Amino acid sequence: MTKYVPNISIAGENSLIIHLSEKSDVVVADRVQQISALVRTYIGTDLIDLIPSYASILVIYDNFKTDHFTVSKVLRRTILETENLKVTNQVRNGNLIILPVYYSIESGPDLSDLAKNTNLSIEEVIAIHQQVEYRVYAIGFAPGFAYLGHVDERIAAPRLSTPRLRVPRGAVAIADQQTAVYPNESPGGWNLIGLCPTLMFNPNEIPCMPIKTGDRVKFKAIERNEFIELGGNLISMSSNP
Amino acid sequence: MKGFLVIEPGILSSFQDLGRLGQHDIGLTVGGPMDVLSFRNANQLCSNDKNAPLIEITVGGLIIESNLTTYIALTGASFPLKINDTFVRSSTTHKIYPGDRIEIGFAEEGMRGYLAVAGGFSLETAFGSCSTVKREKIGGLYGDGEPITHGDFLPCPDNMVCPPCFWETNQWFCHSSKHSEVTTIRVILGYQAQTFDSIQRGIFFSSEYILSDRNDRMGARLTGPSVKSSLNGILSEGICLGAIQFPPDGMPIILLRDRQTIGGYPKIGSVFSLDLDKLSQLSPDSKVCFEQLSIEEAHNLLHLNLARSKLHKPKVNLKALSGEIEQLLVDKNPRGMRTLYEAIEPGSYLRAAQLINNNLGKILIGTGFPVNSTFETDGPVGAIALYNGIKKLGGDPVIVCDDPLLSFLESSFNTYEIQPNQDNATKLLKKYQPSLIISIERPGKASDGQYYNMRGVNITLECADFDSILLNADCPTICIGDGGNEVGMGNLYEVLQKLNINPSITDCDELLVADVSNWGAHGLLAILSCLVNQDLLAEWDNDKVLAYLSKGGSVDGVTGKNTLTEDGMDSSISQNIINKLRKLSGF
Repeated sequence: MTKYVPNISIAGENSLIIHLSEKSDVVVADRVQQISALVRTYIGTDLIDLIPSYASILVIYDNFKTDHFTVSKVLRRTILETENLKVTNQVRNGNLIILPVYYSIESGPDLSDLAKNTNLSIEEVIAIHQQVEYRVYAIGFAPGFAYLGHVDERIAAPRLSTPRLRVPRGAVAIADQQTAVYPNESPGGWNLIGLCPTLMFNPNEIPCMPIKTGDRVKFKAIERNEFIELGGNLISMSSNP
Repeated sequence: MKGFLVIEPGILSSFQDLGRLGQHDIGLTVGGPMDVLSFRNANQLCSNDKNAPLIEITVGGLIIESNLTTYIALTGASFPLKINDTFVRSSTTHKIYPGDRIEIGFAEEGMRGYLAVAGGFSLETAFGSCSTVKREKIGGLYGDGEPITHGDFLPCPDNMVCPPCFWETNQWFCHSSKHSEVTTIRVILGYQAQTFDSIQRGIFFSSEYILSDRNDRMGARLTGPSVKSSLNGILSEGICLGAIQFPPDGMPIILLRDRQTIGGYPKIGSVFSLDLDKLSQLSPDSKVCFEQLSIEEAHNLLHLNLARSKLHKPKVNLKALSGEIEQLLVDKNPRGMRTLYEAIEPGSYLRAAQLINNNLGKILIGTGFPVNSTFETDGPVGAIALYNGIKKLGGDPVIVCDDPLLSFLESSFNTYEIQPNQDNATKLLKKYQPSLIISIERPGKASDGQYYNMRGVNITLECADFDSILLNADCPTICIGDGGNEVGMGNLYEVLQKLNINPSITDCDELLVADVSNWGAHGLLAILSCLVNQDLLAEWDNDKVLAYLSKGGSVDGVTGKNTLTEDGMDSSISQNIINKLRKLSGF
């Protein structure tokens, strides 16, 4: 296999995108984190926004303060600089956040279908979902929606053929090898397996999210009463189509 | 609380500012106006900050009712706009009074309008912006991402002043083609462009696409020849504004203001931001075609556009501005000047300012109203203001007055002394051959040829004759007064009969009235500033000038005391009026 050479390409009139790999893994994710942090420092106030994802970084800059020649140069230099740089422990480890989940048929309407389709018991699905220490690869889709990877292949279920119009806040879901907690009620096509009482996005708090890109996440099963004690709400589930 | 009550919210009306920046890493989109040009134009008409929150009106139907005096402006698509059942122009600043009903009909051409209010709407921000993003449940009036609805109260600041302006043409029509024609959208190639082979790219750039009716603030869906990338899907990655992505069906989607921040469809490139303004005004079924633009050309065009937009400013409606100044200056009405103002043909301040601007040369400024053998503050303050202003414009002013004011002023200003019971006119007019004569708060002769003060006391013995100067001059004359007994008031002799005073019979070319004559001078300078595009009121410090005159023994004309007041009004009241006048003049 030929080595993938990181490349910088034009995304728009004031944005460039760095692609670091064609596939996503922890090593690439570390690199994304490292480069993102440096780019923020190097471009400083000329930067409008930055979107780190699985294996890419979109850099949006202020067209009236700089141009794509200058920004490209900075990005190229940053890529070279990080090529042989040891990933710092801080980048590698991120923070470890434990998210409690009430896994059940009641709180996870796709749990039984997922178990049936994967030839596993419901208990096994729940256990496998908790075994992995996930990494936050990207945040997007909705405010606070964190893409966590990678889900064990045994429970990696494809998206639903017909997305739900309404997925409740806190829904813990699986799509292929990704898992996530819906930060707010929204439409969605992922398989719902449980509910998490932790608020994933609260605009009135600083920080507004308990996790950030690069952090590690583990799920921990809780009982129904614990879920309710932690502020969880099952009412929104009942009216779910 | 001051603001507007929503009678009808229309199809979709939402608050927008320029959007949330730097929040993509937590998944927040930008939001903000779909048509940035029209957004800017609306705020400019209200002299607002460029990020001031306003209402984006999609399709139309918004009806609101005011409970304050302020200014509004509507730009963007062509909407029928009514204020109290009268059709008024878009792209124009309109003054609004309490109880006024503003009705925005349905767009005749274009899709989106922008309604700005002076000072911008007062909204809480979240992550640095109040932009409404329904999908994210953020921004807007209540911070929950909901658009404006029935019964909402839209708060905005009170006591705002802005010059009445207008755009000569509806801006976006300049670069927008008619509905039936094809609109060209420029695209910066990039992203996975190489994953679309030359045939696919050829199809994309040579075909017409039709805007579907499934368009919203997130994205514009198009239908036309299918275009395929060699990639089926990609790892989710950041999406920039205007990105053109192709889902498996090969129909392009242009991602807009409320787009998701990351996604996994291949993209051919991104739409040039100035063309997104055009796109946002196209109605469903409009035809578009795409044209390539290099990132360098785009950069260049954006900078040219910025440079041009700095030169391109809304025009001030000078007659309306004059009206605003005339109204503001008689608003307190301590001596019934509002009655006189109503009798003067509107636009007097504008006409007077034009007289100054067209006759810059030797300009005589007569002032000084004798009070107990000294002089009052009202008059000299305005005369000094006019003197400074005329000098700045290259004119050659001379203050004409009698003693003791003269002895005090002559060390700092060009002056000419006139004396009671003498023929001042012949000598003065021969010496200066003035291009213009202005009088501010000079006593004027009553019908019996005598001078009287406001209390009816005959002051002829201590008052020099300025009337003959005005009457014998063969140049234009402007007079400013605030009581009715000042020279120049002869223009309104009929009306003045109704007031309990000895009115002056001497007339002039242009009579200006104000609650305090000094204010009239400032008002005249405000509109003159606008005419010559130079801020003539910038350096004025009312306290300082009053303190200077006080040293010379000035007294307040109403109280008779040596205080830093004009006609019984504190200097801060005058300064407040001057600040408002400055804002009205656009500075």
